[in-house]
Amino acid sequence: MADKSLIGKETPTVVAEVLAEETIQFAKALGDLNPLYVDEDAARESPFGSLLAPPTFPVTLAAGNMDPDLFFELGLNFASIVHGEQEFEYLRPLKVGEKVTLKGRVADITEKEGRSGVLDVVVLETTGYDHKGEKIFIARMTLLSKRM
Amino acid sequence: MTGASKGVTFDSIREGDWIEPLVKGEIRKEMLVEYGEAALDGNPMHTDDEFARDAGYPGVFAQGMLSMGFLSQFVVDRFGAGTLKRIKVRFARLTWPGEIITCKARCTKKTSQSGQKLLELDIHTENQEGEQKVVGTATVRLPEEPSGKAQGKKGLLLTL
Repeated sequence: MADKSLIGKETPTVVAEVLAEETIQFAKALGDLNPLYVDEDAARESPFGSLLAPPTFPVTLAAGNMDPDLFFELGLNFASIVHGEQEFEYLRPLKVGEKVTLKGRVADITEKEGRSGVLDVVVLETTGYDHKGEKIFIARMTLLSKRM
Repeated sequence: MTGASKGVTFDSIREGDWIEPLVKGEIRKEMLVEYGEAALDGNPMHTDDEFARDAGYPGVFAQGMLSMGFLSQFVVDRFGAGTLKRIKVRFARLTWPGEIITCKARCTKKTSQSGQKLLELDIHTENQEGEQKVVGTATVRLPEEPSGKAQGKKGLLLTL
C-alpha cells in the first residue's frame, strides 16, 4: 500500500528546455494548429513575442523528467496505475526557448473504496519556474492504483 | 478558430450559457501513436492492441491527456491564448478509436473584481452519443478590452 510518510517528499529538481520541435510536434499531435504554437513569424509578431507551448505541454516536460525511484517508493501497483485526474494552474503562458526548473513533490496520499477494492490515491505536484525563479505553472497529477 | 470571431466576450456571456462546442472528430489509432510519441507517453495500452487485450480491454484506448489537450485547445480557441488560468479534469470514462469527440463548456460563474474578469466553466468531452468522457472545470480570465480590439491580422484573439 502507498506509504503515507512520503507526503511532502520532494523529487530531485530538474531543468528542462522548452524546444520548438517538441511543442510543434505536440500541437500537431493534438490537431491544434493555432499559429501561436506552429507559426514562428506570427508568434514573434504577437504580444507574446515567441512561440507558445500548448497548455497541456507541461505534462511532457514532467514525463521526460519523472523520477522512477519515486514510484517504487510509493509502493504503487504498477500493473494497475491509472491517471485519474489532472490539473494545471497557469501564472502565464509557457514560451518556447524557456529553461524551466521543475520542482516536484508528493502532495497527497489517500485511499478510496473502488468497486473492486481499495484504491491508493496519490497526487504528484510539479511546479515550473522560469530563469528568474518566478512560477509559470503548477501541475497536479492524481494517480489511482489498486492495492495489491 | 478565434474567440473574437465567435463573438465570445465577457459582456456577451451569461451564467448558464453554453459555449459553441468544438468538434474534434473521429479518434483514430494513428492519433494515439502520434500523441504518445509527442507526449513521451510510452504506455502500450494506447498503441498496442494485443497488450491492451491481454490486460482485459477490447483494444487500445486514448490517453486521457489527449482529451485534456482537446479541452485546452477548445478554451484557447474560444477565449484566446493566455486566458486559461486553471483547468482540472477527471478521466471519467475511456475514449475509444472510432468515437467522435466533441468538446463542450458551460459558463457557471461570472465575476468581475479588482479589475479581473473571470469566467468559471464546466467543461467536458463527449462522444457521438453524448456520453461524457473527460469532465472538469476551467477558469478563464479575460482582458479589460473587448476581444475585437485585440484581434491581430491573422484573426488571433490576443490577450495580454
